[in-house]
Amino acid sequence: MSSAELPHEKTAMAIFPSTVGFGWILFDGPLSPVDWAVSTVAASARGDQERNRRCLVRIEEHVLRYRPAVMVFEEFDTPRRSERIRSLCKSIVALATVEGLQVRIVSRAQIAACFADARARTRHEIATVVASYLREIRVRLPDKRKIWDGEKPDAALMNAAALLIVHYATR
Amino acid sequence: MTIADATRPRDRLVVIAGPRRARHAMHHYPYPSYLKTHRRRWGLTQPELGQLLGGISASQISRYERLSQNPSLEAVIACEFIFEEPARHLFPGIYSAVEANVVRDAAALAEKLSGLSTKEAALKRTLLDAIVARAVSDQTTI
Repeated sequence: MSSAELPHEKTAMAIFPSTVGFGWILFDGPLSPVDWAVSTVAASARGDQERNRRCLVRIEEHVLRYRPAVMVFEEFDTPRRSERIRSLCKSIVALATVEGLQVRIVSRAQIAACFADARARTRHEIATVVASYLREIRVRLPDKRKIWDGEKPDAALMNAAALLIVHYATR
Repeated sequence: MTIADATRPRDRLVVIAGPRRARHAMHHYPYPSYLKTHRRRWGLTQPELGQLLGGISASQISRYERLSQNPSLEAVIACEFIFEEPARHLFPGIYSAVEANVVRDAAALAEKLSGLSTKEAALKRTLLDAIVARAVSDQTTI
């Protein structure tokens, strides 16, 4: 399912890097998912740079396959995200720029404002609202994380979907 | 700037009606195939969909999804039946290509019939004009 033509103005792809790899989702309009997945990229003995390089190769495949008009990310230049993920996000933004795609950075405040009506504040509450809107990925909603648990891989997919909901709501 | 903005009346229908009615007639289909989208929407694997399509292999389903091979007529009808979506929504790329060819041929046939003044020719021209007019109106709403 590749698109050889120019990107359609309504298509948008969100990528949410996580500790296990990255979650991504593509919409061709508001609340219209086309494709989605969580890509797991194992840590490399050669270090974070090699792991990021592997992530970037996979992301590039998705980007070239679908050529979305807009790439959406959560703000990454904050101390909340690790150095590796900040570096990866900068590389993805550079890739999108080279490919002539628009880049949109969504802040945590914008996400909070968008989901305020639904009284969703935490990531899990937001993911639950997202799952209620998108039946396609409802089965991927992870259980609420225990304080001693690590991040569930599917959380990255729900976070990416939340970014696109915010993107279309605040265009 | 709230979630309500993302769920304007048009989109509320999406949420209420669920995935089967998720895309309506006015929806744009920028990608040539939505078979994978519908398959994954219902959690089907490629082998499972292949089984539903009469024992087609998973690699064949993959080719249909990427449109590296056009699906057979039987497969298209089976997909319509399975997902309750018209073929033009499942395979907008194929639909657009076929439509363009038909419109071109309809215009050529109308030109050929333009010199005739029989009732049959007038009837045919009515159909051909309707085909061209429909194509123009469908350009924005596949």
